[in-house]
Amino acid sequence: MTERGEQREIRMFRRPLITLEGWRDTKAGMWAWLLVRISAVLIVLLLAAHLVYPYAVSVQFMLLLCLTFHAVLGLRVIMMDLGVAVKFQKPLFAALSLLGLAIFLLIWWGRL
Amino acid sequence: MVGSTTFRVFRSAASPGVSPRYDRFRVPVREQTTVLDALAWIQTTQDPTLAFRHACRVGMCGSCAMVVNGRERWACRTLVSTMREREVTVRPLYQFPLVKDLVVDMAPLRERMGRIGSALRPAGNGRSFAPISSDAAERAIIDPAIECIGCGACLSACTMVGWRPEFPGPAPLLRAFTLVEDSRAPAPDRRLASLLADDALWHCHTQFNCTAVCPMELNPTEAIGRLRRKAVASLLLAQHPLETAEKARMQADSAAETQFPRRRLIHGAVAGLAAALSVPLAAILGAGILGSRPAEPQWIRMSDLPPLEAGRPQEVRYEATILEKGHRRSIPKRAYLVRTADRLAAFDPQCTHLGCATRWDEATRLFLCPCHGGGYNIEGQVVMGPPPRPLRALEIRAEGKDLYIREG
Repeated sequence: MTERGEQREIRMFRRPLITLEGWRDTKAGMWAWLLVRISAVLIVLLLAAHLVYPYAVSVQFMLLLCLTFHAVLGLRVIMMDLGVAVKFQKPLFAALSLLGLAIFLLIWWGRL
Repeated sequence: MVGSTTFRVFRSAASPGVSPRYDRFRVPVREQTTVLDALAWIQTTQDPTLAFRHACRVGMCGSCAMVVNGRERWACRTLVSTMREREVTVRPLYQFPLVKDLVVDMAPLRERMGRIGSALRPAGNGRSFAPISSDAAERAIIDPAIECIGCGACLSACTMVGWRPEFPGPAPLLRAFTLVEDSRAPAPDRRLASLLADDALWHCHTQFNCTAVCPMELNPTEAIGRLRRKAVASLLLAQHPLETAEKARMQADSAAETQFPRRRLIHGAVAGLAAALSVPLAAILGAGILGSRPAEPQWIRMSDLPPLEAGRPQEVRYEATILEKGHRRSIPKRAYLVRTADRLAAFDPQCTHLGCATRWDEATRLFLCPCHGGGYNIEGQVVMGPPPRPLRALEIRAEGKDLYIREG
């Protein structure tokens, strides 16, 4: 019981952000959340790029892609907040991603 | 069937300041060997100093929760044969203070449970618990959520528990949910009000990490969502929880402000970004709304004009500079020069009805619009059709032999 009095170092580990070990078991709900955040940041950057280069096809492509995914996954966020289909969040993520892809392709191929 | 699997086991250093390491062990496994069996084998045959915690070994006590191959699991309920990876990596739960090797201090879970008032203190004298019949509506809501045995897996999996010490986390909020729904517990509104503080319910980011790892297959994320909606509803319906919530929120805010200047930094960064983006956005949108318009007024010289016959409009073409959505651009323009008995005039041939291009027709001696049958005489006056106004007269100026038309 001598250790009781000693100053013990408290060590707490957070899931590491920059190692493979920290990401090896990333789940569907986490990916859905991450994609919304990443696409949000990309939209801000691509929007600025789009203002400067309005006719750059690559920028248009990326911007539309980010916007459609941000939009459909945003629908999922709203549904989760309202308690709609919370138990089915995983298939919902898959279905909305496919919907987003379909909308994206429809707009991209349907454009003039 | 006997095989063997390599285990990478987290080992904390004996002395402080030395970083932890992973030890490798080759462990014989059968089809039914669990991770807990493997750890016990290592302890008895390879390294008696390996520390891990367990009690029941059959998934009832929740004391052997650890991170196996990146996911929080109970060692006793995880079959080694179900691991897809060749190596099995075992490490202690995240977000809990490390005691030794795979053993963590579970005190933060108790502390967080206490923070949300996890004990059921029945209303009234507290001596008799009113029974709730098994077919009561609230039982149907509470029952699926009450099975938590406090293993801590969800707290380890939740990213927000790590970033925000004030956030009670999944298991405590699930417990709070069962208490709010429980008719024996007093004042659900008061409990909801305290949960409305900034750092309680609203720090869940609905990532479903807790739900994904819960060995009891509970759904804390859904419970947090239900609590949120209930809490907001209680705000809308009652008067006093609002004040309580506001007080709790302000206390939490001021505490957070001193502890987390990060919040101010983020507010500043967002404001800066918005300001930076609004300038080009306003310019582009403004230009878009204004559309194209002529640049500054300009006199355009008509050169090499053939002699102008009286009573016979002459078409001239020239280039004018316009501002289109903020860009300067020159576009081709058309005008008619008309000499009548007493004066020289110039008309913009654009129809004043809907903007089609009119043409001088010698047979009818009218400017005719092909779109809706509008017609203007040689003076530019409307003689037929829908145009509301005469043709727009352009200002002209003669200087010596040259003629100038004014644009803009």
